[in-house]
Amino acid sequence: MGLEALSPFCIPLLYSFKIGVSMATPILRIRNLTVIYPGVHPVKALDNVSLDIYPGEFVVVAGVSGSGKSTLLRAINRLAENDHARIEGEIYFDGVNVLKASRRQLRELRSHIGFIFQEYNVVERLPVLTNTLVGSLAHVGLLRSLLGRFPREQIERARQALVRVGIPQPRHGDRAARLSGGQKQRVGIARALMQKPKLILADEPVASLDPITANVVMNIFKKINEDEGITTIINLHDPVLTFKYGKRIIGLKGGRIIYDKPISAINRETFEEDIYGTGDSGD
Amino acid sequence: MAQGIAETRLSVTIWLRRIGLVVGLLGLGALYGWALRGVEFDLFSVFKYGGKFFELLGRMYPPDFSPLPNLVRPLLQTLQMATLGTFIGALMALPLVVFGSQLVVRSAVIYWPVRTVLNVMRTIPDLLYAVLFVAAMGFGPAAGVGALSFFACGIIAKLTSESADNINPKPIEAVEAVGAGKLQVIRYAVLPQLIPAYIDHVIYVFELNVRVSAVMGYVGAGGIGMQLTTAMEWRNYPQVLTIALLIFALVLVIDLLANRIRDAFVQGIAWPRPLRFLGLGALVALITWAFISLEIDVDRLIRGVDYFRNLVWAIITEPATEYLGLAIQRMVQSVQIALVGTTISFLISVPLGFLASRRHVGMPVVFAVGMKQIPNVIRAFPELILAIFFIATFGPGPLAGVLAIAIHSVGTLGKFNAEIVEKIRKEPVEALQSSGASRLQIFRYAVLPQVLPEFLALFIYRFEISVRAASVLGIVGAGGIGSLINEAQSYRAWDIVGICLVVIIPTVMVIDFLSARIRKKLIEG
Ligand SMILES: Nc1ncnc2c1ncn2[C@@H]1O[C@H](COP(=O)(O)OP(=O)(O)OP(=O)(O)O)[C@@H](O)[C@H]1O
Ligand SMILES: [Mg+2]
Repeated sequence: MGLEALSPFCIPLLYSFKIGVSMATPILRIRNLTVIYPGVHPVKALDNVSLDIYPGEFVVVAGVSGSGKSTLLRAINRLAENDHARIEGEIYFDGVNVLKASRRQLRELRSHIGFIFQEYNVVERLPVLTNTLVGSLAHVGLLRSLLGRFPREQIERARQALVRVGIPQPRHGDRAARLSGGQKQRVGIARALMQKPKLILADEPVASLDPITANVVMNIFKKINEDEGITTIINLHDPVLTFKYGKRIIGLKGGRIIYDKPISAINRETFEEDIYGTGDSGD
Repeated sequence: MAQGIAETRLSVTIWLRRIGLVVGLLGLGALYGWALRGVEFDLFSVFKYGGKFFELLGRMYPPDFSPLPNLVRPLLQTLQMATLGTFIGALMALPLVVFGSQLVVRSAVIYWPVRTVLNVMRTIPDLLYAVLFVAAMGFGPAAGVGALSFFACGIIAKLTSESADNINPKPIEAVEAVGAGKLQVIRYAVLPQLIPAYIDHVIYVFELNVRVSAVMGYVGAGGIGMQLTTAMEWRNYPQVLTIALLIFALVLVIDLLANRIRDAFVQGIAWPRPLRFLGLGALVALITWAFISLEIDVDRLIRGVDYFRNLVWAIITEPATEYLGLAIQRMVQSVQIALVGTTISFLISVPLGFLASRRHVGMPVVFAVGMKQIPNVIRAFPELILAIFFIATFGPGPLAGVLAIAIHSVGTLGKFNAEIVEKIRKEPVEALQSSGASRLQIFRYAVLPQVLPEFLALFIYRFEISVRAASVLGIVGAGGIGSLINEAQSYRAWDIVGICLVVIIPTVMVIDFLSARIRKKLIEG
């Protein structure tokens, strides 16, 4: 009597406590995801990928160029459809079937997912502040947003987000074109924060930055994840950054998952050999 | 064995390539032989009578400034016509841009007809619009404004919808990714990129319109061109020079101003608020002033609409088919004029491009800056005025047209060639330098491969524009289909003007289409 009787309930609880995340329900559930870019020579960029991502996780997707990292992230919010990709399988975000969502549902869904691009994708001609406010578009009335009259509290939030990622107030009125690469990426992160996202997807966010700036930006991601518990998936091709920041690492190769382990369970040498070593994939 | 097959296959491809090259060169030679004969070009007469050109200039000097007070009003009228024409054209272009690109409506049912209208509008050369509007609305500046509006609308709409097709899709993705709606995407990712392009194109067209507006008087569409024509007819050469200088000065001033404004936009310099209001106020005042002083009367506008209905009706129901053969023959000559003229211009502009750029030649900077002014000066002389001068030298005929195009095109070709040379990436040059290559080798392997495709693409693009010019230069007597239009116009034979339209529009469209294809291939390799 006593402890033994409770144990069947306790063990999963204890286990989930130990690895620091709630095992309750995955925030993102991917089943048999296959993505094909049609064309004269169709490319199968992802091949039968299945994944569960739990709330609060910090996941790094590693792989060489062409292994399908971008495709994976862009399939999750269906941006890949812009490239006419055919997405098959199932993706559930927060319980919603992404691939079956209507245009309207998709917009709602995207508003909860912050996406960060390698090329920052800021509108060069718009001021920094407006670029950040873009993140709140889904929740600002159509007329107001078309007239550019954002609610005062959104503007306040945008300013806070910018300061938080390290863009001081005096620069908020500058055109984005006048920022450095690292600063543009900070604006990209601030834009994502404006969405109050449940999930952050970042596609090679530091690939165009120098090593020092890259670490600064990676630390911003880390801090957001730790302070607010926002689930984060980051694509990285750099093994050093992967090992420095990743808590769970997913290795992609030729569109398939060949690795999916917490960082502690990975042997660095064999991992690098498997992922980056001379294989038959990549270009 | 397999290797042997591979080797023979390789040598076969090499031979095929060589044969292709020879056939291509022969074809090119034949093409130019044919074109040179078609435009009655021979160097002998160019040199023999070329002296007369300077003699002509001599007779113009010194300019006669006494009629200056009488020229102020026509000069202002020229500016007014250009302003109003650009303004109306820019407004007319807006719906065409919105529905002629796939930004707002993705439906091909709307997109294709609008694009077609746009392409047809763009094929009709500036002076042909003037001829049509004068026929429709009678002599005077109102016809000029009508012509300039349509001309401006065609170019602005075309260029802006091309910009719309080419805007950076990345910010669009970012705005889509936050869950924004279609209109929000347009507001926050498309317009910020498109509006500067639109303004840029409007300014560019305004520059063009000032040039066109200055010569439109030749066909009776108002502005200082009328005075120029009269002076030319009376062989009052000193007065001709005065008017030419006035036009030249006007164009230079406008170009200078336009460049200032454009640079401000391109670099995104935020103007201080008072200056912005002042600029806007000046613009509104200019347009209002132009509107009031041009005395546009509604009756004539309605008459104009009627005329165009009749013209289109005549083309459809009773085309002057007996003139079709002649029209095609003259159109061919126009194309030949454009080809020879643009080629001569190209031959002048390539060395000029190198000399006028500050890089890779090692000339002193002052020299390069000086060279760079040559195209700017040339660009300020409208083709038509050059053509009139060359007709006075060599007599009427295609040769005058060839030379007018050859000289005028140096304005744009020289300028842009220099810019191409300045844009060369220096990494390949340094790579060759570091391997000890000679200057000539560097030129051959690092410079030429970078600039040649762009030079050629620019040449072909200029050819496109020259075809339009060559099809109206005949209106002043410089050969090609314009001469037929001129005759038809003086007999008021609108059915013949109609048949000319029927020939010009598809020809220009086909050339535009081919040119775009070839340029794309050249640039993308
Ligand atoms: N728009 C597209 N059209 C056709 N094929 C594509 C497209 N985008 C990606 N691919 C192909 O899909 C495969 C996976 O590409 P993906 O961009 O996902 O790789 P990646 O791991 O992100 O590479 P990188 O590190 O270079 O960004 C590659 O073979 C690529 O050529
Ligand atoms: Mg990628």
